[in-house]
Amino acid sequence: MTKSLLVGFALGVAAVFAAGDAVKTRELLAQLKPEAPLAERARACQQLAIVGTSEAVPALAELLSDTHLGHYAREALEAMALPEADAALRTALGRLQGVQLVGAINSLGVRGDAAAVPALVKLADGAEASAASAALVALARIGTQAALDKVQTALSDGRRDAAADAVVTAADRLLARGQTAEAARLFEAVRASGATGQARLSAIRGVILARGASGVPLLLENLRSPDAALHDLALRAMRELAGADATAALVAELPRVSPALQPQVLAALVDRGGAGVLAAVEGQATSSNAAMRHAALDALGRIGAPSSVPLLLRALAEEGDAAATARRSLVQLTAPGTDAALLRALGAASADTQLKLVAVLGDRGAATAASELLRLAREPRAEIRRAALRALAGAAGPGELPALIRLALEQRDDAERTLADRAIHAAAMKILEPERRVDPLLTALRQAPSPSDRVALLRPLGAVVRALGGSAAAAAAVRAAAQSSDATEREAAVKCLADWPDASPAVDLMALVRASVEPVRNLAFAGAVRMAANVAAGRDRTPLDALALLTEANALVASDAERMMVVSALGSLRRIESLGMLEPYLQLDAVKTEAALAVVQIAPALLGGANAMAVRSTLEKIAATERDPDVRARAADLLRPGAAPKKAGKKKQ
Amino acid sequence: LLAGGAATLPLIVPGRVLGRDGGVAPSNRIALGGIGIGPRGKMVLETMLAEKDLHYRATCDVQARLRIEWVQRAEELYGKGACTAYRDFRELLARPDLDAVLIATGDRWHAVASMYAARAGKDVYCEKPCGITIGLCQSLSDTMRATGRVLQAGTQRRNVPNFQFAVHLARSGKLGRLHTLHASIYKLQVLHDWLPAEPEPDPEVIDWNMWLGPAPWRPYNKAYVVDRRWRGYYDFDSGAKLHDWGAHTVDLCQWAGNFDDTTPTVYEPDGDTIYARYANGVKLVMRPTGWIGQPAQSNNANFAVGATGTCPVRFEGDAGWVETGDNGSIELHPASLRQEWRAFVMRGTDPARHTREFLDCVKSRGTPAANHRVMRHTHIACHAAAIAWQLGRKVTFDPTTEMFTGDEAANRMRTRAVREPWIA
Repeated sequence: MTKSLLVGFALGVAAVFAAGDAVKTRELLAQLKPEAPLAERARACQQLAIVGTSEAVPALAELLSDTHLGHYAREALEAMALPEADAALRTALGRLQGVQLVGAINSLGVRGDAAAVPALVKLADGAEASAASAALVALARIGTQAALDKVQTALSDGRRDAAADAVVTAADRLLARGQTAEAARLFEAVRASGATGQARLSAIRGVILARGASGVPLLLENLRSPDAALHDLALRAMRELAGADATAALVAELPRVSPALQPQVLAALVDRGGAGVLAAVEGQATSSNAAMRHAALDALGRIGAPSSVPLLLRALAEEGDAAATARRSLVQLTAPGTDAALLRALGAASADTQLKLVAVLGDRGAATAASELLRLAREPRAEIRRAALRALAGAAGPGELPALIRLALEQRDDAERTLADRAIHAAAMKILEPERRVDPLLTALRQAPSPSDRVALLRPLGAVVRALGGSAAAAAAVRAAAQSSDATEREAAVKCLADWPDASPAVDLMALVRASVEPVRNLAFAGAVRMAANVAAGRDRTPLDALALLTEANALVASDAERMMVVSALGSLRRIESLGMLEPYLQLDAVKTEAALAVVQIAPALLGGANAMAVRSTLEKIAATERDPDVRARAADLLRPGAAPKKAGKKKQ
Repeated sequence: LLAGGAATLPLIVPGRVLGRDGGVAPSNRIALGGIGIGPRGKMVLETMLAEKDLHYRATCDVQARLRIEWVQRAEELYGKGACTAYRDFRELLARPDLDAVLIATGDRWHAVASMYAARAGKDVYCEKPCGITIGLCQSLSDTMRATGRVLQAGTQRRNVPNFQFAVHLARSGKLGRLHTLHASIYKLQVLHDWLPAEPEPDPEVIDWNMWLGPAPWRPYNKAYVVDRRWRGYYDFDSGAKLHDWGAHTVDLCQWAGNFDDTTPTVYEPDGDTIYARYANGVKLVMRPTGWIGQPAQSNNANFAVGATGTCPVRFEGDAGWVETGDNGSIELHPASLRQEWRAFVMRGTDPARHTREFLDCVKSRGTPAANHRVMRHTHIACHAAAIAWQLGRKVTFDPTTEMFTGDEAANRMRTRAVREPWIA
C-alpha cells in the first residue's frame, strides 16, 4: 500500500471528533485481532492513535506487553486525550518489565499524568536502574510539587546525575513561563547537589538567568573562571540575561577578564547590544592585544557609527591582519557619511593606502566615488589605474557608461582593457530596463570611427548580451559588423555571434560557413552546431530546425574536430534521422565512441517507435563492439526488455 | 564496537596537525564527532573538514561500512589513530574531549540524538528536519535552551546570499506591505507499507535495532538501510515529505515575514497545495508547482524546478515581488530592486557558510542563523501544514500554546511515542 491511509481515512470522516470516532474505532479494533497480519495490526494502532475512542483502550492496553506491537499500542494510548488512556498506562506499570516498563513510564511523563506520581515515586526508588531513571524524568515532566520533591530528593542520593538532568529540564520550563523564583530554587538545588557535567553547567546558567539583575555577580564569577566550560556558559548567559544594568556591568568587566577571553567577551557584548557597547568596542580598536583589536575592528563593521570610520582608516593604513579586518568592516559599514569620509581620506593617503581605499569604495558600490575613480583610472601609476578600473565595476552606474566606454577605447594594455570591459558590463547591467542595457554600447558602436574601436566594443557588448539571454537590437548590429570589409572586425563579430546565448543567429552562421574561409568559417561552424544542440536538447526554445541545420553541418564537416561537434549535437536530437547520420561514424575511429554514446543517449526515445528494430540493431552492434565499457554496458542495458532508463531529477537537501 | 583500525595510514603526521604551515594548533581546534554520516552527511562534513580549526575525532554509524569509510577519511587528513568508530552514539557522546557533533542520520533519529548530545554537553549541527513530530521539535528546542548548547539546523539556505537578498527585500520593506509568501514543497506523500521481511544481518555489520532507534519496530529489509528507501514512510520521514523542502523554504518565508517566533494560525489543503495564514493576515502558500519557468510537465513530478532552480521561494508585497531558488538567479519586480543587491549585511558572522557559522558559534557561544528557536517555529509550521494535508481539511493552530484549536484528531498527531528505551 503506497497511498496514505491517513489521508484516505481522514477524508472519509471529515467531521471533527471530540474524543475519537466510534464507528472507525470498531473497524480498527477488528483489524487488531491476533490472526491479522502484523503490519495491519500495527497500522490499526497508529490509526487508533488519531481516531480511537475509549472503547479501544482495553485492547491497546492488552498489547502493551507485546514484543513487536507494544510500542504501537503505546503510541495510540500516549496520543489519546482520554482519562482511560492514563489509567491503562498506570495499571500497566504493575505488570510491564524491562524496556516496555520504561516505555509506559515515558508515556505517563509525556501525558503529564499527576495521578501517576505515587506509582512513579515508587519506581524511582526501585532497584531497576533504567526504570528508576525514566521515572525521575517522568516526574520532572509532570512537575507537581510532590513529583518535583521526589526528584529533588534523588539529587542527594546515588541517582544524582539522572535526577539533575530531570530537574534542570523542569526548572527551565518554569523559567520559560516566568516562574523565576521557583525555577531558581530548582536550579540552586542542582547546583548545590554537586552534579557534574552538563547538568551542572545548565544549573549555573539557570541560576544566573532566574536571578535576573541579581545574577550578574554569578555571571561575572564564571566569566572570570579559568575553567573553559564555565566561562563558555557565562558567554552564553551574557547574551541571554536582560537589563541595562547588566549591560553596564558587563561592559565594565571587559578590561578585567583575561586577555585571551577578551575577544569573546567583546563579541558577546556586540551580540547583546545596548548603551556603552559601541564605545567599548571603539575603545578596543587600538588595543595592543591583536586578537582583541581584530574582534573590535570586525565588530565595527556591524555596529560602527561615523565615529568608527577614523579608527578603521587608521587600521587600514597598516599592514597585516588588522588592515584586512578593517577593510572588510569598511565595506560592511552602513554608518551615514562613510563614502564621503573615504573619499576625503583618499586625497591624503599614502600610495598603498590609496589602493586599499579604492578597493573599498568599489566593494561598497560607492556611486559618489565614480567620477574620482574615473580620474584615477587615467593616472600614470599602473597599480592605481588598475585598482580604479576594478573598483568602477562596483561603483559606476549607467550614468558613467559613456565615460567608461571612452576609457575602454583608450586602453592599450590587454589586462586594463579587460578590466574596463568588466566595468562597462557591470554598469550596463544596472540599467533598470533589461531591453535598454545594450543601448549605450550600440550607440557607441554606431559612432565608432574605426574598425579597431568597433572590435573593442564587441567584447563588452557580447558579455551584456550573454547576461541578458539575447537581444534583437544587438543581434542586428553584430550581424552588420559580420559583413564588414575589415577582416578583424568581421572575425570579432562572428565570434560574438558564435557565442550568442540563444540560437537566433544560427542560420546566419551557417550561411557564413558556406561563404567564408578560416577563421570565420570555423567560428561560425562551432557556434551554429552548439546552438542546434541546445535547441535539440530543449535548453533553448528559439524556433530553429535543428535537424536541418545539423544535416547541413554534417555535410560540410571539414575535420575530425567538427565531426565530433556534430556527433555530440546529434546525441541531443532524438530523431531517427540522427541515427542515420550517426551510423557511419560508428566505424570511424576518431569519433566512434562519441557516436556510440550519442546513439545510447537518443535510443530510449526511439525504442518505442516505428523504428525500434533499426535502433535495436544499432545498439546490438555497440553492445558487441564498442571499446568503452560504460557505453557498451549502457547499450546492453537498453536491449534488456523494459529496461529503458527512467529520467529522474536529482534530489537535493 | 569497531575500534577504527582497518585503515591505511600515512606514516608521517601532517605538519598542519602540529599547528605549523598556517594551521591551527590541536588545542584550538574544535573536536567533532559524526553520527550517521551517509551521502548527505558527507556533503556537510566535507565542508567542515575543509576548516583548519576542526578535527574529526569520532564517527558513529549502525553500518560497519560507513564506520570504516569515515575512519579512513579522518586518517587521510590527520594520521593514524585520529578517529575512533562507534556503533552506539552514546559511547561517542560520553567522550569528554568532543566539543560538537554532526548528526546526519535519517529523520527518525535527529531530535532524540540531538537531545542526548546536548545533555552530554555537545554542540549540535543537525540535519533537517530536526524532529519528525511537533512534540519532538518542542522537546529539542527546550533542551537546547536549557543546556545553552549551540544548535544549527541544516537549513543552510539562511546562509546563501541570493536567499538572504530576497529576505532582505522583504524584511526591509522594499516590497511594500507583504501579503503572500510562497514556499516550494515536494509533492506530498505518506507511505505505511512494510517492505518484505528479510533475515536480520549481524549487528556488527548493520545494527537494525539501532537503525530503527526511536521509530516503531518493523521487520528488517536492507532497502531501508542500504538503499536509504526510508523516505516518505510515516514512521521514518517527517510530515508527508513536506519537510524535504519545506524545512528550507517555509523557513525562508518565516524569516522574510519576520515570523521567526510564531507560525501560521490556519492551514487549508487544496490538492497538493496548502494555504496557510498568519495572525496578521499574511498568507503562506506551500506548493510543488507554478514557479517561474517550471514546465507544466516537469521531468520530475516530485518537486519544482523552475527558472531559479530547485527549492524556489517567492515573497510578494504590495510594491513588488521577488522569486529565487538554488541556481542563485533572482526574478523580481520592479527591476529597480536589483540595485539593493550589495546593500545588506544580515548577520555579523560570515553569511556564506552555514557550517562555518556553526563552528564560529561553537567557539564564541553565539547564536547561529538556524538556531533552536528558528528551527522550532519553522518545523512546527511544516508539521501543522502536513497534518492538515493528511487530515484533508482545514485546521487552526494557536502559536502560543502550540496546539490545534478544538481539533482532537490534529492534536493527537502532534506527538508520537518514542520507542523504548529512548527518552525524548
